[in-house]
Parts: sequence; structure tokens; C-alpha cells
Amino acid sequence: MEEILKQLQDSMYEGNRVESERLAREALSSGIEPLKVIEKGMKPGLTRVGDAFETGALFLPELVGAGDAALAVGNIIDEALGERKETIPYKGTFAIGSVKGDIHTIGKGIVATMMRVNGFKVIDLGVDVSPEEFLEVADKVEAIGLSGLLSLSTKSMEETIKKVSPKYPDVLIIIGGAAVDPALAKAFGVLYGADAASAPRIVEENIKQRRQ
Amino acid sequence: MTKLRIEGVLTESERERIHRSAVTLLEKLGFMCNHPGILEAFRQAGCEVGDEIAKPKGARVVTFTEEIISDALNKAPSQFTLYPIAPGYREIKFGSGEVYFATTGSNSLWDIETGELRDAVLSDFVTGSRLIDALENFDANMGYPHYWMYDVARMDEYEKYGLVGALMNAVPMLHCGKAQIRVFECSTEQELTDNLNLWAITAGGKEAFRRKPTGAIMVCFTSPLSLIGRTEPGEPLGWADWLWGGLNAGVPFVIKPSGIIGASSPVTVAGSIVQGVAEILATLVAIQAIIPGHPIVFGDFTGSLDMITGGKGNCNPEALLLHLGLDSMAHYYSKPSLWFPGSINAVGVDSQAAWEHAETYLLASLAGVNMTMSSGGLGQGMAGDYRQYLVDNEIIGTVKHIVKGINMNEEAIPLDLMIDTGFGALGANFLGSEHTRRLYKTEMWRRSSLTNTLTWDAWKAQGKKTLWDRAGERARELLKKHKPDIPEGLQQEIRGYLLQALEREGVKGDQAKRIMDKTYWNG
Repeated sequence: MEEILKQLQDSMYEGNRVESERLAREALSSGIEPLKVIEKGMKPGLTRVGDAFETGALFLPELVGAGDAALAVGNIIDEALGERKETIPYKGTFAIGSVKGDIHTIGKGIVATMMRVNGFKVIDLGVDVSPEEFLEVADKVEAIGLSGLLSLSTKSMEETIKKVSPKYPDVLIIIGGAAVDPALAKAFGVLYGADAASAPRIVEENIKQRRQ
Repeated sequence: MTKLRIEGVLTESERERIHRSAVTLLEKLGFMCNHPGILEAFRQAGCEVGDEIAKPKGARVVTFTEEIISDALNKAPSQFTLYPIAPGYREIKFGSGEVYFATTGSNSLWDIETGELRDAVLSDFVTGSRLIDALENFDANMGYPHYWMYDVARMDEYEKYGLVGALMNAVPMLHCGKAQIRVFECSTEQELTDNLNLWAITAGGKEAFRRKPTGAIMVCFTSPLSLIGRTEPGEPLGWADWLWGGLNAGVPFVIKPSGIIGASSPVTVAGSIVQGVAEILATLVAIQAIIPGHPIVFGDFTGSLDMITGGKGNCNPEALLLHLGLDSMAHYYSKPSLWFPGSINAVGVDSQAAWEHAETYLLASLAGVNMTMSSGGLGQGMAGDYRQYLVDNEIIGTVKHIVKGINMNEEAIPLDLMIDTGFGALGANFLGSEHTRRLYKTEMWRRSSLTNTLTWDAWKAQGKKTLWDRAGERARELLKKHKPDIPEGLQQEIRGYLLQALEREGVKGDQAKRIMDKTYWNG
């Protein structure tokens, strides 16, 4: 039983989505509790990925692979939990999208991966996301990330913040991308992510503060 | 005409292979665009334009044939001239074999007085333009105005007045007489019109601008292979809209592939070159269908992904190879070329900043790139520093000297003089000769006070000033004494246009004066 979970850890570390899916299903079939698959299989694997990335042993391509594997395994476990009251103990749920008028996807995708690998459930809304689309998911998340490359996307960010914040004041909003800087984030009254790697820490710390 | 060149980045057969691959990519995958006018141009050129897809709104996939691409390549000129906005400044002869340099801008600025990084404001743009005007090795002014004017671009009152477009173009023209190469990040048609009208003023009218353009616009892609404009009425304009608007005003275009190795283009340099070439060729087809023979430049805004931070690196070794490859393809097609390494990785003025700029400038010039832009920029275009302008100007001076190569004209080998002069052991030398006096200014690079050639003791006695200390001092000196030579009449016309724009938006009296005051030099 433990061997399967060890193998799942390894396949997560290798960023092997197909193998991770297979091992997660095999673990469930062998009678392992869904949440144990997460706690003893996926999570330790992702922790190793995060540590290796920190020390420069792994790079973004491996991280993206691990993020994809985490998403796939998370879906399998969600399915297995079905109607049960238990849920995967994510650090939080995080929605992200490139704001309306901006169709750049790479930076947004890297942040989504970082969040996923660091234990967040991620709702990736894609690119050219309208304020209304962010508003629609605001009641399901602890934090929202607004990504923008073009300087003109700052207007869309402002519109989104004005739409979401009054209705969901407890939802954290973090902005990032080439279009923005700390001064703009301060002016908007939101958090600023200087790079993808810092996003999970900033969101996690601020979620903890809000919960206290 | 420069002489020293890198050879062999790509062989002739490799360039043919890249061309064929780019054509195949455009035949089999195609190019995505959502601008109705540009899509119609593709149809007119004979391209297949597919059905509208769901998102981005209005986008369609366009596919090409080799004949269509060859026809567009044949129509596009190999040379054209970009003119300065004021008499007495340098013309830029794209495709002539000369190498030229221009600046970039940034979100933030290292304050020359406090040493702190801060948001740039309109007065910095005035200052920066005057420095660019003063520095002899910069041939054009980019400005990157939307970045340099946080107090304009980000203050509601200016946005409400719809003045960002007018101010962003007017201010550099009031303080720098050099030719202009810009990114037009305008939100609205009115802002775009303001920019184009201001350029027409500098050329002496709209028709005069078409004949003798004083500015060029750079257009980027959403790589891979997408040129997207506004997606909804009322939304901000996008790259395709700026291309369409500028083209109809006769603005030359720099077409800049924007792939990032390992992210928005393949991880291999060759694959990224193919993608970049395909992006240029596709856009070239539309431009030549709209205005046959319209001047274009093979640009470059590519880079590589930092596999740790996820940031873009413009001057990493693999990115430099990509730039070299794209430039090699411009030569293959006999078209002018421009590098926009954007900025370097170093975030502040230090040894890395000098090294990265020097490496980029030298490689670009040795490759025969017509125009290299990025001077003054740091941290991938996120920060700027006037001291970097000064240092870049110095580096470019050396590079321009090197790539001229070795003079081999009649008087380059003065055999008679050498025989007359005789032997060193007998006290002979050339320092006092008329030959030396006459030619040293062209044969030898003349450093400015920036480059340190002092002895250790002399340097110590002068306070051990670093390169950056000296650059700061020199920047202050230049700003004190330099006066751009922009004709008074032109300045009045530009300010007159701004005032009209203010009136159009209902801004009068003290409010209008306060805004206009910001366009003046107060140093």
C-alpha cells in the first residue's frame, strides 16, 4: 500500500501526469482512503518539487509538469470523494486570469502552476477575462490573481477590482505582470506579486492574517 | 557603410531551410488575426481566411501560399529613410548597411539625485528626451512614453481628458529633434489620431509625412502567430488597431516577432527563428496588400524564458543567438532589420549592466543590424537610469568605431611617410606628423570623460570615482548646458495642437496651463 504512495510521490516529482493519474487510481482501487492519497502521495511529492525548485535542482518545465499532475490527481480524488463531506485540505482556493483585453497566457500559467504546486486549488479562468467572469467565481475563492502584460490592462484590473472588492471584501486580490508595480497595487488597494515564485507565499500569509 | 561583420550564424542552405519551414508553418497552421481591415487585406492578397472563432472575439485563422509570401517580399522595399523631426539631425537610412542606435524607456526610474527607484513622471520624460538629444551616438528617440509618465498615464484626470495619446507623443518632440520610433499604446482612436497628427506636424503635413516619415511604429505579436486588436467596441485598442491606423497614415512599421524561447516559441533557437520569420512574413503580406511598396523593418522582440523566475531574458546567450538568426534572415530577404533587446537583465547600474549592454551592442552591430534599441534600459525594461544612457552612449561610440572596420583607402598605408620617418631607435615617431594630425580624429576612437584612463594615483586623487559616479556628473552637466535645436515654430505648432486637444476635452484656463507647464524644461 505504502509502495504505491511512494511511487506516486516519485511520479509527482518527475512531473509525470499520466503515471500519477494511474497510480492515484490504483491506490484508490487498492482501498487507500482518498485523502490519504493526497496526504501521503501527492503532497509529499509536491513538497519535494518545491524544495528542488528552491535549490535549483528543478526548473520551470518540471514544475509545470508537476502542476499538471497535481491538477489531474486532485480531480481524481475529488471524484472519489463524491458526496462525502471530506474535501482535499488545500491551503485555499485561488482564481487567476489575464484580465479583459489581455490575451497573454504564459505568466498567468506560471503563477497558476506555482500556486498548485504549493498546495492551492486553482481555478484558471484563462485569458481576456472580464470583470463579470471574476465576479462569478469570487464566492468560491479566498484569493484572485489578476495578470496583465500590456499597460492598458491596468484599466481592466481597476474595473475588476471595483467590481469584486465591494461585494467580496474578504477575497484577497493580487496583481502581477509587466504592466503593474507596487505603487499601482497600493493605489488599487490590493496585493502585488513581483514574480510567480513569490505569489504562493504572499497569498498564503495574507489568507492566514485574514483568518486570524 | 560599416565593414566588420559576423559570418556564419546561419549558412545559405540553413537560411533556405528556415524560410521553407516558415512558409510551411503559414501554409499548414496559419496566422491568427481579428482586425476586420487586416483580415480583408489578407483576402485581397489571396489568403484563405477561416471562420470566426469564439475567442478572441472576431479572430480568424489565415493561411498562406508560397506565391503570396514571395509576392509580398518582392513588393516590400529593401531600403527607406526615416527623417529627424528637426533640421540638422541625422537621417536614418534603413537598409543602407549603417548601424544606428536608439533608446528605450521603463516603468520606473532610478532617481539620479536620491539613488532610489521610483515611478517615472512626465518631467522625467522631458529630461530623458533632452539627454537623448544631447548624446551623439543615439540616432533615434524611442521614449516609450506611456511608461515614462505615470502621473499622466495613471491619473484619472488625464485619462478623462483623453490626452495621454497627445502628450505621450508631443513631449519627446519638444525636447529631442531626432527621428522617432515608438510603441503606440493608445486606448482610443482619438489618441491614435492625436499621435499621427503630431507626427504629421513634424513632417510638414500629412502628405509630407508619407513622403518623408519622421516616425516609425513598432508592432508586436501575441506569439505564437497572433496579431490581435480590440475585442469589443469601447475596449482599448490593440496591436492590430495600431498597425491599421498607422499604416493608413503612411507610418513605416517595425514588425517585431515576440516569441520567448521555451514559452511562446519552441525551446530550440532554430524553431524560434522559424516562428519569428513566419510572424513577420504574415504581417508583411497584409501590409503589402494594403499599400504595395510600404516600408517595413524586420524587427525583433524575442527573448528566452528564465526557467527559475519565469521572466523574459532578452540578452541571455540563446536569446542573442535568436536575435542573430532573425537578423540573418532579414539579410536573406534583403530587408532592413532592428533589434529590440528591450533591456538587459541587470536591474541597476552595475558591472552586469555595462557588460550586458556592451555584448548586445557589439553583437548586433557585427551582425549588421540596422537599428539597435534598448539604451538606458535595465531590468527587462522595468527600470531606467539616466546614467545608463551616458554609459551606453560611450559603449556605442566604441562599437560604431569597431564595426567601421579597418580603413584601407589611399592614405591608410603611408609608405612614403614611414620611410621618411625612419627608425624608433633613432628617435623617430609619428606624433608630430601632419598625417597624424589630419587623420587621428577618424582613425582613433575618442573617449569622453566617462572612460577612465587615469593612473591609480591620479584616480585616487580625484576621489576614486566609479564609472557611474562620472556618468551621473556628466548627465547633470549635459542637462545644464544642452539646448535641443527644435525650431520655435515647430514647438509652437506642437503646443498649439496640445491646447486644441485640451479644449476639445473641455479643459481650459488654469487647468490647461497646469498641464501645459509640464511640457516645459524647468532645469
